[in-house]
Amino acid sequence: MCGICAVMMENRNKDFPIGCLLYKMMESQQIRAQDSTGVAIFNKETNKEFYKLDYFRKNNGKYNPVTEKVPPERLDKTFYELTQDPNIVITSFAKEMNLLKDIGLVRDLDAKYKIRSIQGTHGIGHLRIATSSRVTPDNAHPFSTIVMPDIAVVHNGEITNYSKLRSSLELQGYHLFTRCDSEVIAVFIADQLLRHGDLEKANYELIKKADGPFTYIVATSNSLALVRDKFGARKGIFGYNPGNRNYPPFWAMATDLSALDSVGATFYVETPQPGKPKIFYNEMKTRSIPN
Amino acid sequence: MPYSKDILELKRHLLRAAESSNSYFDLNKLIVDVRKVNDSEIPYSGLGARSPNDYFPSIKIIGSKLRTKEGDYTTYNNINTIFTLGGRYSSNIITSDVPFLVSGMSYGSLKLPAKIALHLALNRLAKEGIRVIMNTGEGGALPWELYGSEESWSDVSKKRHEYILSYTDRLLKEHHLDSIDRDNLFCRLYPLITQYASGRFWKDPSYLLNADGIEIKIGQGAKIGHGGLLPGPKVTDLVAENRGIPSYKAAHSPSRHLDILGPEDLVAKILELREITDWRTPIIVKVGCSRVYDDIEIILKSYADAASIDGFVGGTGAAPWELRDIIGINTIPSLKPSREAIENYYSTNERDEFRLIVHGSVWDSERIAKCIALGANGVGIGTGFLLSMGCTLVQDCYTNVCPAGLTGSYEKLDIQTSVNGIVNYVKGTLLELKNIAGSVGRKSIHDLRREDLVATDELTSMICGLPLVDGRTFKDPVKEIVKMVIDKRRCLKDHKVNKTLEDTSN
Amino acid sequence: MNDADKFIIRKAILELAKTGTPRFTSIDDEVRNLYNINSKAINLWDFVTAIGAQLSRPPYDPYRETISLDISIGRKRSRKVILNIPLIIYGNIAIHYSSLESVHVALNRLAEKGNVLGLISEIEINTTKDNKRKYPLFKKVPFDINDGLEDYKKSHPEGLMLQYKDETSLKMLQNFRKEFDGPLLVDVSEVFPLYIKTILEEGADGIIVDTDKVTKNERYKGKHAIAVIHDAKKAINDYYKGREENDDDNAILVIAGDVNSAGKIVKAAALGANVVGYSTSMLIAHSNMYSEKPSDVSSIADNVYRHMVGTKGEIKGIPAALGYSDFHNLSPSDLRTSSIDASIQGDIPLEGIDRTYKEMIEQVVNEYVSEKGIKLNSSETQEVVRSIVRE
Repeated sequence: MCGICAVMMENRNKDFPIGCLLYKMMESQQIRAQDSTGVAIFNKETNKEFYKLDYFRKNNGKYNPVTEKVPPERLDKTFYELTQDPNIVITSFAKEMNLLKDIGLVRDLDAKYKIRSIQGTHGIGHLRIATSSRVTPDNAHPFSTIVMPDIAVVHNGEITNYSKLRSSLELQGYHLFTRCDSEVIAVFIADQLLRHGDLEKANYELIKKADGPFTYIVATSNSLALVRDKFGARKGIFGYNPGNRNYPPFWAMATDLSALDSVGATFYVETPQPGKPKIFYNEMKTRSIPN
Repeated sequence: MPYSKDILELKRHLLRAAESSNSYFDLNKLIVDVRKVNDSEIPYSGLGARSPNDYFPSIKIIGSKLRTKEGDYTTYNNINTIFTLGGRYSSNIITSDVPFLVSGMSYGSLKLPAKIALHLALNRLAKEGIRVIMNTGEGGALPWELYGSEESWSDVSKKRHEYILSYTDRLLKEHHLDSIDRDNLFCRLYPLITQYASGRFWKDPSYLLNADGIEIKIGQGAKIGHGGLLPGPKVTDLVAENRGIPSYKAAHSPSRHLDILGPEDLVAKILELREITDWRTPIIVKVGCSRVYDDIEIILKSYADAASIDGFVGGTGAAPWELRDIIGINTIPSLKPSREAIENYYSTNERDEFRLIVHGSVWDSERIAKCIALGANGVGIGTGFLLSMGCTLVQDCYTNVCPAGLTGSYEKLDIQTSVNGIVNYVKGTLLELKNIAGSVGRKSIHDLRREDLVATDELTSMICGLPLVDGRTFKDPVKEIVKMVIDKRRCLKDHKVNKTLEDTSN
Repeated sequence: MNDADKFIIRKAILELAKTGTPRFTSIDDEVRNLYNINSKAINLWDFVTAIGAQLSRPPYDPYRETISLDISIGRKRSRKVILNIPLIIYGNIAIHYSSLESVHVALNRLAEKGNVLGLISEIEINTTKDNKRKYPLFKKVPFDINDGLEDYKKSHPEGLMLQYKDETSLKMLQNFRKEFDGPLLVDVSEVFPLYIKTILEEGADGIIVDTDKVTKNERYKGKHAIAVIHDAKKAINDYYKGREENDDDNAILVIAGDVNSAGKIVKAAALGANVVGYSTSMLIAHSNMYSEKPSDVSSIADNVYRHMVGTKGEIKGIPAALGYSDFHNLSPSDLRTSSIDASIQGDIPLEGIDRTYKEMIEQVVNEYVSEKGIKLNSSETQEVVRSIVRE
């Protein structure tokens, strides 16, 4: 349904304003979707002691964004209080992630939050054209989860059996805030990571369980995974920019080739095999070279 | 269908086994089972699904009359019934004198005489000043539909011209209609909408260029999520030639447009068609009724001029029997969400010429009026036209045999009688529509409002948001019970207070 | 619109086509009058439909993508049995040996072609060397067997089906669970909806519910199969509540009884059934008994085989049209109903408003209460809803 993109700096470079790269890629894909926009950018240095909690407070159809810094010992209590209130939609639970989203075009988001100047090691971006849930700020991507910090998901397509996945997650006691199928991806991956910590295995599990045509990118504090459904019905590509004197090398992922082109990530352009997650880690350079 | 002797025997034995074991007794299921036993294939059926509740009978138009005075039908002659399509993004606007159109019935699914009868009848109506829009259906258009005017021939090469004429000759010859006057035939006075379906059964660019409107068919009410289907026996040589497919092999269209997976693909497709037609031709998107709100919301965003929704009772030539009966929702309940989607869209956007066309179980004037009052701009009628040609509703449209000669056994159809039938049906329906609007006190059929309707049962009131016949709504009994509960609580409380008072006084 | 309506409509339109002059009454008036005269026998199944995939969700195409029907039966402790079609042949009609034999031959043929189905049966087929069983058999154990498990192991069934009658059945279940390492299905139709949690805790691999039997019980009198399936699924979900989801630990729900056509199979699956106990195959084999010239086992088996191939095509096509590549992804959210009764019994949303009848009533109560500034506590709200819904 949408346009997605992501950037991962090589060698853990964290000083480059990757918001600028995401902005360029999103702008080149804007033709695909115009309903809402969002980015999630990870920066290791930003925050050490607190958890950052972003949420929308609904009031007469208006969505007021609120950011709260919560020390670890108060976390459970805060979550309890916030999940009791039906007018609260938690959009981000983070240690080092900066998640910003709203309705409107990418220009509007930049005007509001200056996303172009945000620095980081990696980040994801999303442009939405709604298919099933309504056009509201809380239904904009990326989706995060309160199950574990620093998980963000952007998603293009449709998880058709989302209500089944959702009810099985709810049976296990997880709290979901929206009716959007993409939130299920975030919670599912977080649930899997809590169990075994293996992002690749978690993605394989989801590909096995989820139905419908989809491509999604899931970002954790140290990795990005680009995943296509088992039939490969939706597109998703990645490419490499070797960098030069002015900027460091990076990997980029997007829906359209034009987006990779707009940031010069036109080396090693490939698409992941349907049903096989392609994972980029920002620790070791060697693992991110395509095999 | 002419069942083979084996089938009849199997049916009899199965019936007796079923009776003796009390396990089930459902004639439809029996037929489906026996046909699966016979050929191991998915059983098909024609016409629309059986729906035990289609809501139409539970809605009344307050004070409406179909007929005014005996003999004089001109009381409400000035009622406006004109329906326009296009103008939202297209430069052309299709005008029809009636708020209903002939919905897509393809050549192949209908036999040639029935198609010719429709063509001639609409021409005759147009001559009398009643223009009715016709939709070609999925199976390509017939030569006289595409080349029905002088200018449509202007760009046609000589070779192509000869081919078209020879194909026409062969068509008419096969159906023993050689005597038809070609000049009369090659004349189209009514607006034509061609269907752009997932099968892409057309070989001629004029299919898109010469049409007055294009309908992108995402799905159809009778077989939502399933592509078009024409069983092998109906794909005769000439049908196959028209569609560009092998003859006597079942024509299965893909269940989705292979290049339309989501909303952004639909936008791209519509823009492509707009460029092809130079932004002249109105474009409609047709979906079967299921997630109506979401679908209409997408259509509104996608540069279409109109949305067309098709309830699951809507007819078809052939659909898998079980699939037809279980997928989709009724026509009336899908009107409210589609209207809501439209109103929500226009709460932030400037109002324009967007149209909503409704299909599925709409057959007569009163049902048309009900749909319009509930928010439709126009309706599509398919089975109604077949009925006016003598359809017997035996639902064997998927075979090549039809008791009325419409979808098979074409020798049985008398074109002249059918033309008369269609003309009368349209005129009668138009008169009735005018009478309904007039007797309710409206100047135009499009002025009919929700306020003119009442529901006769709770469910219909809930689903359409209409008051009940006695002026109450389904909410009133609930409110009364809430009051009762409050009263009870007060009593209990008083009782408690009294008791405490007693206690203290003691 | 049922068949009777259609003919009213036809008559009216033919009349109009003949004369071209306005009529006196509309078809809707006539249909309404018809229903006032004879109230029709209602089967709630007909009021339930599924919502298909269109623009907001693309459908799959069974001729392009593979649609999976496979299901694995057996939890952690048991050997697994995999069915390629989610059906177990389950006849509650009086089974004649020769009918069973033809079903056996048909199931073998299907299994050879990679379409494994199960069979629940009390009688055993005498298998010869070249007529070995290639499909899983769930042998039915009568109520009152407490010992003699050895007898059941002798014939090497892949699974067993126990019938649960009362507290004493628990002992039987425990015994069997200790001795038998294949899937154990427990028929709870006699005691439904009780004991399901206990049974699952004792390690049963699946629950069988026969809706025909249950709706004859006092507790479910006047209710429909929809209510039974809904409640059965709810009971199983209650057992799993708060547990970590595990692919190895899925107890299945087998629904038998009033589920005998592809449409009903899909509806039952959407309501929560994992496997359907299917009696029609048995019936087709059985119908040969009524033939003047009974056919031989092989040709009856052919009939059963062809019927099953057709059924398989149907139950693959419907999930594809709903946008699923796996039959088992159907969920209650795919269903809509046009009947208040079905909405109450199966918690199915009403078509067009996408909310259940109960939710609508609750909404009205809440709106009214907040408009009037009254405060109702939750038990009072429930009381109001209950008195409207009349559960």
